[in-house]
Amino acid sequence: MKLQKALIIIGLMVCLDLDAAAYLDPGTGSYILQMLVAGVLGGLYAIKLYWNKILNFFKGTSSDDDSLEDLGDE
Amino acid sequence: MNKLNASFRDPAGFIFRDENGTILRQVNQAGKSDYDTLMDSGLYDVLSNKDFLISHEEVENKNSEVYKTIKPDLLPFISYPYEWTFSQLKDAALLTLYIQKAAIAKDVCLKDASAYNVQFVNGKPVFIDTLSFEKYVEGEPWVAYKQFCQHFLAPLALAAYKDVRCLQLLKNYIDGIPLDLASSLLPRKSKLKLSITTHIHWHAKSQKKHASDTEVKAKASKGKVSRLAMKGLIDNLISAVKGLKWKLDNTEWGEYYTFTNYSDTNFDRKKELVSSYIDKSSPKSLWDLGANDGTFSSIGASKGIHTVAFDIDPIAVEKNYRRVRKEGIPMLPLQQDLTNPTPAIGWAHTERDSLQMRGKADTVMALALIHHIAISNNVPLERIAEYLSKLCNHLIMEFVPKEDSQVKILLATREDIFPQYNLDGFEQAFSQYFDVVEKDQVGDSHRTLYLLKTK
Repeated sequence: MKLQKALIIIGLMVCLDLDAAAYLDPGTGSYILQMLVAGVLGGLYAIKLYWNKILNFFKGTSSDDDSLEDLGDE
Repeated sequence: MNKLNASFRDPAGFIFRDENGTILRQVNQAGKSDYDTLMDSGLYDVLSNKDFLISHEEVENKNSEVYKTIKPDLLPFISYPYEWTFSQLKDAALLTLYIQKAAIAKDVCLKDASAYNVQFVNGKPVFIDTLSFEKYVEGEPWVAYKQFCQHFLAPLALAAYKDVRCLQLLKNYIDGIPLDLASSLLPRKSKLKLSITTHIHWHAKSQKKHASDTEVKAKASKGKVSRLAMKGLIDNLISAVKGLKWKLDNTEWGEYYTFTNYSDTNFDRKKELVSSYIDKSSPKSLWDLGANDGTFSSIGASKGIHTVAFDIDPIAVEKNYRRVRKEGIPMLPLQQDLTNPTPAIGWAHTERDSLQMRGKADTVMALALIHHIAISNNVPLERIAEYLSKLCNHLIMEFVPKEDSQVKILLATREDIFPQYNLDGFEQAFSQYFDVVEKDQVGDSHRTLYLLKTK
């Protein structure tokens, strides 16, 4: 277990080598806030996707979550 | 090689002008992986087919140490976020987020979210920085989140909740409005909106709390942003931007041209004259200074001439942009205060050009404008002529005399200290810098229209 934990931490450190190619300073406070809120927003997004699927099922339509949206008049 | 100063921060490459004047982008060896990621992932095709991203072609490399040289489509005019109206900034924000969403789906990520990466062509925003992409590594937070909030969300929220003139703050803050400033300026009711609370108010607090924290890596390694969380973040930012609206009541949106003192016949005559003057000067580029809602700029645009329609009034510009967006015509509505024109800003005053540096336009129109500058702002006629001569090769100019009701209104509340302000004074002042090509009285009105050529 200890080895597994150590591997995960090493893995994370490799993934999060923030110096890699980023020329922009992401800002510590901005990074931390993002990590705190993104998980919650991801959860809400998942609920929204399922809800849309249910709606689409009853409407008999389909949608692609990754399709490009259109810019235009509101 | 003439390196342009708008793109020196990113080591991946830069924009330059070659010896023939062609605008090219160099991809450095340091930018190889970013460029290949964009091209090989299929994202470039998806985005450029939809005109979301500027198209380019690879051209011959003149320097073997360079990875690639690309030639992007030519942009008719470079504009800046502090010249945009509310909906232009909002559309640019949505474009950036839609691109990030499409990028994540293809394992690519936007490495910056600068508003300066967006330009407008035929009423549509286009992303112009081909080197803003990098490989998406699942788990990593979005490196450009802070920049997106500063460049887009903060100014839009301030415009929507407080005052649309807050967009002008972008002229002072070249890297976007500091979030602590936005947070302190926004009214309390903005906190009722969860997305604004999160991305601006909490964001500003988090920045303050960790301001002296240098251990970003150690902190960041405590958590990660999963792919679903990243999608959730982008989706939430899209909703936040969509939810921001500039509310105006009907009187403010009223018909601008109902306030002119032209009869219908004279108004039509003015349109005819302007149209024939444009034909005579046969411009490729046209600037309309004091364009109002773009009624006369449209004459140029309808002839296929790229027309920039400047006006000081954000409502007029907003109205014009909404029309241009709908019709997709070659016109670019921008906000511009001619008594204090856009300055050159950024490092060594070379990052963002002044208005004059982006000229000369082939033809400039200044219709029903001179009295506002000469009388409301006390600028002597010679100085107006001198400045306009620096902006154009041909000038379509309307002289509005003191007998005109609009000028009478301007002089009603102040002393007339303008003895030179008459047709003779005008011609004398402008003859120092221009030759008269055509001159016509507009119907039976007091006004005179000139087609002038710069000496």
